[in-house]
Amino acid sequence: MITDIKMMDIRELQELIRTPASGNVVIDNILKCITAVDVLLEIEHIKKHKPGSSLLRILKEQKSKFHEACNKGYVQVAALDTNAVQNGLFEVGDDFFSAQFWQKVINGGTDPAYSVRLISLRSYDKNCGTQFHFEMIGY
Amino acid sequence: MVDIVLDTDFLAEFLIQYFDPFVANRGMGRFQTSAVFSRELSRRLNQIVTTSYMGISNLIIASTFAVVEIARKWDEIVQNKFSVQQLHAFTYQYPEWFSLAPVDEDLIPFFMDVPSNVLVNSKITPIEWIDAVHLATVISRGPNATLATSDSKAKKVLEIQGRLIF
Repeated sequence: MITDIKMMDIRELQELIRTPASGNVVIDNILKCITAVDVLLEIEHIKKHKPGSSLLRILKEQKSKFHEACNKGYVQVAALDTNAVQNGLFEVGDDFFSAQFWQKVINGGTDPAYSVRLISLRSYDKNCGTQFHFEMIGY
Repeated sequence: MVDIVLDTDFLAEFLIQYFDPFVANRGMGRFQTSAVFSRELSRRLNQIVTTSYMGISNLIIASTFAVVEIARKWDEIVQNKFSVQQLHAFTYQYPEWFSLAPVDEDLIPFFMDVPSNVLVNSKITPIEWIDAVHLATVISRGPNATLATSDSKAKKVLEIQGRLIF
């Protein structure tokens, strides 16, 4: 039974993604959250640095331990979907029609992956009652 | 008929024309040839809008990532031609012939189908993850979908995969 939600460490993501599914994935009673952009960046790294490896086939067939953990509900991916854009990209006050961009994510100098990560987590937090995006920006 | 995915610059141009009352006028007017849209692309976009009213379900699509990129490069690419409030409202209520495609775990297998490098002008050129997201969105829409882009690497991938190039 899931009792808590925590952010997944990147090292943990790397291990799950690089390990074939074994049928015995257990991550205690904790639901782990990871952003879609972090998963894509990790896959990008494998694509670039291990071309032709069997790992790519495993990932393509969605037979990694990461996929297994997702399918069993131990891992949730914080997506950048329409809901995340609405919740994460904009700052909406009392008046819906006066929305502005949330300044933390639109600084052009910021890494786009950082913006996407923060937007996805801000929305995830809103839906799940977690505080991950605050932890990320240091509040 | 094909689904047309717009990359960031093309989504910005789409929205500029969409919100311009003298051009596409929120789907009541027509998309026009411009510095960004070729004659063929604007024709195809108008075809999707028109045929949607006949029940034909091809779509104009953009990744949610393109919306974030527009926000990040707001002054540079939007130049006050539409407002933040209009973009915000658009994410809540876009026309039925348009779709915002998510960046989520379902995109992973398609992301993997995007090559890491491509040969452009006899030079091996890496495809960055940002471009790969747009291309993965195209691949996720099936073999007939294509990307409206000015990026030469992305165009090369479309060419290799036998997709239309505008």
